[in-house]
Amino acid sequence: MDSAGFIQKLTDAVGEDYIHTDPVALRTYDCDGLTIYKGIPSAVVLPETTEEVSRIVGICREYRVPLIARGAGTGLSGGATPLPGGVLIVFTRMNKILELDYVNRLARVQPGVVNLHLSRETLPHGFHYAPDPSSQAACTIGGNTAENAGGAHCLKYGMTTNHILEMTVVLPTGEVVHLGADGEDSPGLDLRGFFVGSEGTFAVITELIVRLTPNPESVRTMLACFAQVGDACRTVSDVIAAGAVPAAMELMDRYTIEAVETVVQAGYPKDAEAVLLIELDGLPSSIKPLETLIRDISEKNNCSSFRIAQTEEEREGLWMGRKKAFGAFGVIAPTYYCLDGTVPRSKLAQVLEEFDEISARYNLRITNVFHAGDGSLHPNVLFDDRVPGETERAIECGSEVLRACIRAGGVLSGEHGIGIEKIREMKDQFDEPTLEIMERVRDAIDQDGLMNPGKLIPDEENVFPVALGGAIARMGGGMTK
Amino acid sequence: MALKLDSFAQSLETDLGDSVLWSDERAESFKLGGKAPSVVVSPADHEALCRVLSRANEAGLAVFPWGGGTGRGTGYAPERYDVALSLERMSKAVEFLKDDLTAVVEAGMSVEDLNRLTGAEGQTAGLDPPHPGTSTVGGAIIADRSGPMRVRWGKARDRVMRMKVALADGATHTYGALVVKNVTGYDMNRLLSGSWGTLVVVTELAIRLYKAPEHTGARAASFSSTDAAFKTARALMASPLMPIWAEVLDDARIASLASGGGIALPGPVSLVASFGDFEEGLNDQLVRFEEILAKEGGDDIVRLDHETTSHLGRTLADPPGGDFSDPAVLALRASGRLDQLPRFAEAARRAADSGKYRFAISAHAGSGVLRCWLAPESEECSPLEAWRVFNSLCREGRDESQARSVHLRLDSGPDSLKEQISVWGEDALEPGVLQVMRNIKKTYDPNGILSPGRFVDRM
Repeated sequence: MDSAGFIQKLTDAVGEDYIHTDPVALRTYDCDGLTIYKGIPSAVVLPETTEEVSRIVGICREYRVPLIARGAGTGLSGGATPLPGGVLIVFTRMNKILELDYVNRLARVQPGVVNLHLSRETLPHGFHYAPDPSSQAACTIGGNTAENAGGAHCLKYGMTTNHILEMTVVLPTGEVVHLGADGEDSPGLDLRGFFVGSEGTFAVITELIVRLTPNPESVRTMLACFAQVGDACRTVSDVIAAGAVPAAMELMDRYTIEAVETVVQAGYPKDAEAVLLIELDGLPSSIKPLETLIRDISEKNNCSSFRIAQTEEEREGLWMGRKKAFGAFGVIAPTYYCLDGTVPRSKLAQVLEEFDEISARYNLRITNVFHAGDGSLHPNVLFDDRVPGETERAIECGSEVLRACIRAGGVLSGEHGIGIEKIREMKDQFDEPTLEIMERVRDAIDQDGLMNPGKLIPDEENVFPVALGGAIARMGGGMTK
Repeated sequence: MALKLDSFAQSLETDLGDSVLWSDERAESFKLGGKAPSVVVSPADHEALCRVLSRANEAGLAVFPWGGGTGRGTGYAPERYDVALSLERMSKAVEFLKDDLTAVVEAGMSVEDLNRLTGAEGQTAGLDPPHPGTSTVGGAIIADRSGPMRVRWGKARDRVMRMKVALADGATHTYGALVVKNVTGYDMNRLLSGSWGTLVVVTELAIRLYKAPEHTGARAASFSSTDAAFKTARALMASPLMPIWAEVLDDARIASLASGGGIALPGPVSLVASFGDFEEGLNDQLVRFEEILAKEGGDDIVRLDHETTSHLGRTLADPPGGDFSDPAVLALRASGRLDQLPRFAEAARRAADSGKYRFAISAHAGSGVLRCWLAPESEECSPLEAWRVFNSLCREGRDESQARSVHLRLDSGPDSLKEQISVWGEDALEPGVLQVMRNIKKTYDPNGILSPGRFVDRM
């Protein structure tokens, strides 16, 4: 390949100030939030317009170079990890809110808009953008769409896919097309729905029309504490079975409480085996009976204490513990591996017991902090990556955890995506014909196989080696769901 | 063709015996676009259905899956039509996991039976296709038939947790799981929901349920114009209230609902919205909706109790009866931003005038979807002229991207009209999008035996 010619064409497409080829600069982009796998791209380009992205895709196609799109790089499954030698398209410059239409409750944005920035803009006008991954202060709406990201409040408001109306995308051919519409219906197959969550393997997103949701009139946040994790899980199952739909229902186990209280003092009782953080929102008249119902169910399941935040400050304090939980694990272990298997809500207690057994077998501690109302687990395998062999053991332990989710009728991923991280386990989730049809459909859309290869579907040709000695997840908050 | 069918019949009899019912007497009841199939085949279970498909695929026979047949008016006439594959014998409940708010049912179960099953436990699937007694769950999902309740529960495709399907070659695939959050692999359920039987035959579905509201009620008010009613609906949707449905109806639609001792709503234009909640929350929402109605100039407020609200909700998804059920009626649909609804309503009026039709309008005012029915007023009526006017006025004065975002569809109408227009509104699709759809079709159904010619771009 004429590498110089290739780089020159990319430079012509975006301008010389917006392409990186220097090895030191490239290393900055060698992974996303899943830091154990790394790849150095041949170039990083920062386009400003859809037309520039289209040109980049065309050049990559001409030279048969793989391309990978990246928002803020906060993903946890390696979706934005560059295939070595590929081109990384970074959306830092495409970060504008193009239209705010409150009459029709929608916004038109570029993919690099940070999730929280959109809500900050719209909140004073009575609306917000509902999907709220924990990394929402940093992650981008384009990245959220590629991964179909979730968040604490998607229990009530749905995943990213429920909030995307239209996407402008560049197809592997370089053609710019629109999927979906700014109304609710569009002709033919639901390609909008199919492309959301496809992890950049079908197309590159360059613009989005998203729904805006009216702000709730009131919010009530409560903390139910339990002496048994099983009781907390049964409370979740009973609340769901009663048909109540809280805005959020988060479970934290003993290890998480210990870590959180050491670091941020959220006010969780240290002697509790589990706490449930439950939030209701809506009209005061609608949520008052729900509050009573949830208190009754918690008490029936032996909750040791139940309190409702009386002030905004108290509410923020309760949430602070949840939001800082992942960062707080640093006080009990140097590194952690955050998974996101999901199970039917009635199976929560059963799988947590299995996690304990797996934890004992691998001699690695597993903490749990997760979106309980959705059955969306976040088991965290704690380990010390400085100890030879412990990283590999953590990976195997994580794999066992995911298989336990599948055995319980669940799935590998509820909101982080497959990426590279869970690609091996896809063969445990799906039989060969199902994986094959996914691969064939992917080939039907990306005939040259250049869109983020080696992700999502097991691929013998594009295997990402583990960067031994690399931590699986970074320490500190803000990077996790 | 006769030889192919004979060989198909023989092989099925050898393979399956009684687990497949074979009938050519009923072929007339399974007509599509004026074409009757050569045979109606009704397998008893998934395995038998797979075998039917496998044999049809080998013989190159065109197969159209059938649920309740309520969507038969939609789409182009079949390019070929050999086998109607009826799911009438696959209508059982497989599993009702009430604590997980999940129902697993065979695709041929009627929506009404699903409602009965889940309603017994105070739960609802939130599915409301027209004619729920006949519409099947599989049909509602595979056609993504979303009625007025979409404003509360989302579109039909949002209900699907897991789907068991038979491919054209008879292979079985299962997509999804009994979980409410799932990003494991591609979202095949979304790809297949709304594919109108062109990619697979769905045989079993796990449907996500919700608690049915304990108390419901509705309020209706009259407005002097559809514009005023739509503006009020937008004010409702911008408020913290959560309607189950919110419909704007014109005088003809109001009259059809009132006929035969039905429900009397105030005209000439009515905005009617229902709410569901605990008792205190419901009363609060109804009072606040009345305040919105009064503020926006609504008049003659009518209060509907739980029972009447439920009855009206079931009726709203259906097309108007009487003259509007004639086979020559045009059923049109337009979807776009909420503030485009007045334009769509005006387009419907002018389309009716120019084509010499009477019309009725019913709009999902919280979802930006307008449905209208045009009934012939004289023998000189021109369906093509009516469609042209509707099409051009819905998109008039708009740039390319705005015009593209308006979705128009002919839900039903004369086959002669379908030959001349873009029935699914696919003329708004870019070539690259159509090519992706064609490639996916080719991947799933390389021999083109599933519902050939009926769907978008006649694929």
